[in-house]
Amino acid sequence: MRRRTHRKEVTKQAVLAELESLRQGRHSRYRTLVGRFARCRRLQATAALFAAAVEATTRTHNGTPLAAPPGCLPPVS
Amino acid sequence: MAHGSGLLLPRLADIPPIHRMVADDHLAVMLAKSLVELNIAVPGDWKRAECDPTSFIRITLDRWIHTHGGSAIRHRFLLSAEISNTPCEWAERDETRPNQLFLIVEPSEATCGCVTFGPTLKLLEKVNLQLPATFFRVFVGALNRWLRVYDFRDAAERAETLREWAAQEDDADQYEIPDVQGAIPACIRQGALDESELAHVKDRINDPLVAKLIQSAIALDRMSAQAKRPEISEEIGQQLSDCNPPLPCLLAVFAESDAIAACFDEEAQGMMEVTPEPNLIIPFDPTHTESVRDAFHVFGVACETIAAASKVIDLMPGNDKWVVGT
Repeated sequence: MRRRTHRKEVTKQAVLAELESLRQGRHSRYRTLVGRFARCRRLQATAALFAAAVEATTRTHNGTPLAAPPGCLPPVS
Repeated sequence: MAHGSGLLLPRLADIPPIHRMVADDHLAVMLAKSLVELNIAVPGDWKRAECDPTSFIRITLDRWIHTHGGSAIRHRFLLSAEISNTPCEWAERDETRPNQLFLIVEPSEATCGCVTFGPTLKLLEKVNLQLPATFFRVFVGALNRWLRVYDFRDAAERAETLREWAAQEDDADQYEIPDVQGAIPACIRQGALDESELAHVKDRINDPLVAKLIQSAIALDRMSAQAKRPEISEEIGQQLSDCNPPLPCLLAVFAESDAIAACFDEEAQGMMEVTPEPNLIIPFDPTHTESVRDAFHVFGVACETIAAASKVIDLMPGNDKWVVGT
């Protein structure tokens, strides 16, 4: 019985520690590329600007694509 | 496997199979932490939630409902509970209170539970003339503290509105308005017994079903009074100003398809025209454990009150067909 209570307390402390690291942004989840992206407003703003720029460029250069020079791979649409 | 074309599939062993995109889970993390500290959440659920604070809170909320009469609630009521950062779906978030969350209870579907009082009132009337009105008021009063019950008073108000509208028409006599007053049993118009009178009458009841009904109604009333419904501040009131009244969670009729049911059916057609206010809104601050404890205590009392009401309906004759869950 006592061992079970002790194990529960250990689990509780481990969960609290993990939640605390999440609160402070130190959790391993935030070390992944997606995790960093989700928390970084600058990265998100950069990506949004880049996407908008690509879209604008597509509209500006909405002409017929030139044939690829011999020996080159054709452009991927 | 035989080697065919010689092509190899790339190894995916080190690639995480799931990516969760959470823009800002600060409040969810704080709430999860408070729930663990208060022993409301079960730490073992953290793995079940795959270490995701939002899933962890969902599991904890489900567990809390289960331990506070969840199965009895589902037997008679179609409700849902959620935690949100706005008091209703269309309200805007109050930026001056970044740490405010709301525990919300509302009907899960655009329909509500039903209870028929007629056969029970007849049974109670045989014991004491004031017992039916007392039972009705105790039951509806206790439940109304937490959920909206649509009863003969709402129906009478609706019938009056319909009468006023019809009076403005040229063919006013062509409108058939439900006779709510005619559907109200005479015993309901009796005065209700006060607490000491009820205790006196209760001790002299010989019919076991009547005794059980009265005991259960008193227990329901006591349970309901164990917490106070949180007051809605002026700011939250403003956020809800464009909402319709809450959807009723229980329709209290005297007989199946009576005038009260008819008024409800008529009024129900417009209840969803504008987003309705939730039935119960419990504001709290997840960064303060006291606030989280109070919110979950209030929510627990609300759940147990609804569960107790469901059990009273189980005892009431003529209500077998209104079961909505297993």
